[in-house]
Amino acid sequence: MRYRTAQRPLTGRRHSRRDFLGLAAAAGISVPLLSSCAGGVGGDDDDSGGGMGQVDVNPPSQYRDREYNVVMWSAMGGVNGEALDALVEKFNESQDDIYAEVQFQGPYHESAPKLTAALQAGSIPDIAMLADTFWGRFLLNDVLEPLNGYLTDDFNRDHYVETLFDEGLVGDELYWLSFGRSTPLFYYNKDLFAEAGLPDRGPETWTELREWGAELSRLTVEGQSLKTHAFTRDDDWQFMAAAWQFGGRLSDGLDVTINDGGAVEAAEWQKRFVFEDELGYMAQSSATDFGAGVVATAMTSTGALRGIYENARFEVGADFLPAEVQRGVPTGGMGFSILKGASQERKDASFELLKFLGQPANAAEWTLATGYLPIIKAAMDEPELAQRIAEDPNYSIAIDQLPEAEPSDAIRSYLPNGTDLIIGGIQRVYGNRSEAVQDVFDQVADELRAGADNIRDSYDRYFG
Amino acid sequence: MASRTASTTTGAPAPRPDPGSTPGSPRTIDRRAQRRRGWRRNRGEYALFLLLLSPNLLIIATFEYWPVIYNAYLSMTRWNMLSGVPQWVGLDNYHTLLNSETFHQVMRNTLAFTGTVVIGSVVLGLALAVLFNQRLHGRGLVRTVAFAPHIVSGAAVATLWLFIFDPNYGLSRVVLNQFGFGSPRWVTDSDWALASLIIVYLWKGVGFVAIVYLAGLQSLPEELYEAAKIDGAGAWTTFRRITLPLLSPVTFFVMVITIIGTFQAYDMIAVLTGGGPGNATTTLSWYIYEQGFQAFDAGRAAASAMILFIILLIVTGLQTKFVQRRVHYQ
Repeated sequence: MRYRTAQRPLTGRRHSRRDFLGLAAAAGISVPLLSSCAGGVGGDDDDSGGGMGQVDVNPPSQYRDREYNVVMWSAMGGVNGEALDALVEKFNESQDDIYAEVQFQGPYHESAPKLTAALQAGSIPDIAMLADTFWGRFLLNDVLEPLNGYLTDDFNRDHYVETLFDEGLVGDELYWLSFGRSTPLFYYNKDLFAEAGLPDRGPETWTELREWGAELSRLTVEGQSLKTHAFTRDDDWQFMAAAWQFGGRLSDGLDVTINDGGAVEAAEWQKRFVFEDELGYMAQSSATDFGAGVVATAMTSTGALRGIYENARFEVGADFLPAEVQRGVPTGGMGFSILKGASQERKDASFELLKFLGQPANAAEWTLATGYLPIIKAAMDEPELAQRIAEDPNYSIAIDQLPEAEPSDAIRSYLPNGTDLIIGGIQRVYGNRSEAVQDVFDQVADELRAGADNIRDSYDRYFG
Repeated sequence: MASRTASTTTGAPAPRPDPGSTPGSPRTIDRRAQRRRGWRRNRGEYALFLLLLSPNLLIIATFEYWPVIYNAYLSMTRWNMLSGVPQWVGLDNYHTLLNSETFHQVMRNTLAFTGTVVIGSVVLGLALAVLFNQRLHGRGLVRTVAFAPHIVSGAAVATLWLFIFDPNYGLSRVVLNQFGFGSPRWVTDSDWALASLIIVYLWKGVGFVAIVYLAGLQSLPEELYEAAKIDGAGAWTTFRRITLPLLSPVTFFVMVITIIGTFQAYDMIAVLTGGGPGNATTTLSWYIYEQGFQAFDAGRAAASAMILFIILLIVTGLQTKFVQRRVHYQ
């Protein structure tokens, strides 16, 4: 009996057709309903913005009767997230009009799709924390608020470290205000360097690192020969630095140059370092491996300094990035943008929060807690930070290296999957012995160019 | 209720007409009128039927069918999900995909991944089930242990395996060193990455398959085995001629579940390899994510999703056909 009832839907064609008609009818009802929602959003081409709602915000009782609520979408958890929360709480205590709430949305690559969805839904945060390689796509789609009008006599470019401030400029207009900024540093394990009889500094050039590799590989760790350098598998930032150091570029504007000159030479050098010299490898996580002491050197962000200190059971050294034919230091990290779609009141209130975060004492507190670069000039005179910089050479290295730093190549910043395509390419360089670098990068370049063609019009509108 | 009434009025074989009656004769008209009356009476029932069904239908239509329809539309547009409205491009996205070397690699990966995981699950699951079916000490504990990975979240399993796979300090290295081998760089080597993904998916899924097979094994009738024994059949013949055919509904079920599961694989790929190195472990579902949420190319993501949808439709169709012809029900 049960067997039969179970079989019925399979054989009862008549019923299934009828069910389908019912479903189709129901679908017909829901189509206009939903598409009308979508239409409301798609039609929002109004340039002045201000028409979008705010995502849910839940002020605690003591802030419930404030005049304005501001929502900031953050992409930082862990130590850095806590530091930001503490500063925003301080902002809430410092005045009586505005309540600001930080909402963590996952790391950059998760929070960017969420912001996209929020914009489609017409219900948005007011401030978005965007990585240097993420704000460009939002800029090109005209959803970011120009910020020049919010700057004041005592809060403007002069207040900031200019190189970092200028990265948020498009022409003369500011769209992105630097906050957690960084450069890569060259980290080395001082204990292992001493054991191998190497000098207590980073290598001047990649070639010198290769020479040192011969000494380092005589040491063993966990029964295996010590590797000299761990390459990163989930970022192309470090590789971009190497490409520059070998005299190349990933792109010039949107013109892709990754399959040409220095970029190819850098990759070929690194591939030989991995497969022929057997001195390097692609790590599951280079910072973790370095912190665990299983590799002698790694390149990672200044913002990772605190985390590495906490993990490492050895003395951590940090130095300038190695050069080869020239020096090359890319900036990275994140800043804040205000969304054009928020109402003017919300945008004004939002900028009050950004100003607060840019006060020297607060900026210094942020740098101390995270290891990110000081972005406000006066922050470096704050006693506690000044003392840290004087006492810990690893902090001052990052600051000393900064004047050499340059922003990312445009293909990485403005093409939404630019970094992903480049990461895919360098993974093949480090992870596939048999493929020739030139072939890999030719393929990557083709895909990058196809992507670049799609965004060229909007890019030229801002930069042309 | 309604459907049964309907099928007796319309579907059941009508009594053989009288030899003398011709179309249009009073008897036929009478029957038509009867049918009409039936319809009228049933109309009320149908209305009630639809009314009772409508909340569910509406929900299913809104959250299941409408997205499919809208996705089909999106697959013929170009749209970055941020600005303006989708732009109609016809079949361009499909054309680009089918001619893209990357997409071909993605399809090869998907096939290799799904094929190996499905076959591996069936073979290993059945082997484990046969083992668990023996009267051995502590088999309850072993069964529980084997089933445990199935209920742990994929992200947690993948994180655990990242440690196991780590060529510097992972368990796999310790084990392989015992046998004189070095550990491959599992997830960062193009030649090993897909294999490591398959190992992890098998490890997580095989316990579940084994339990399903075990249930199947335990419900098989003893008489057949006794008869086979009397006829002098050996263990292998008994297994091949009796156990395997009788388990075919279970095998069918396992295959359906595993195929759907592997086509949807996402969580552990995200944690283990992120589709890399390069595209070495990019399966169709991961590719859809890449196109949608890395490249913000809604059209191409939607077109890839439609291709996945069509493949699953074909697989389901084939399986339905197969199950009606080949599967033995007890």
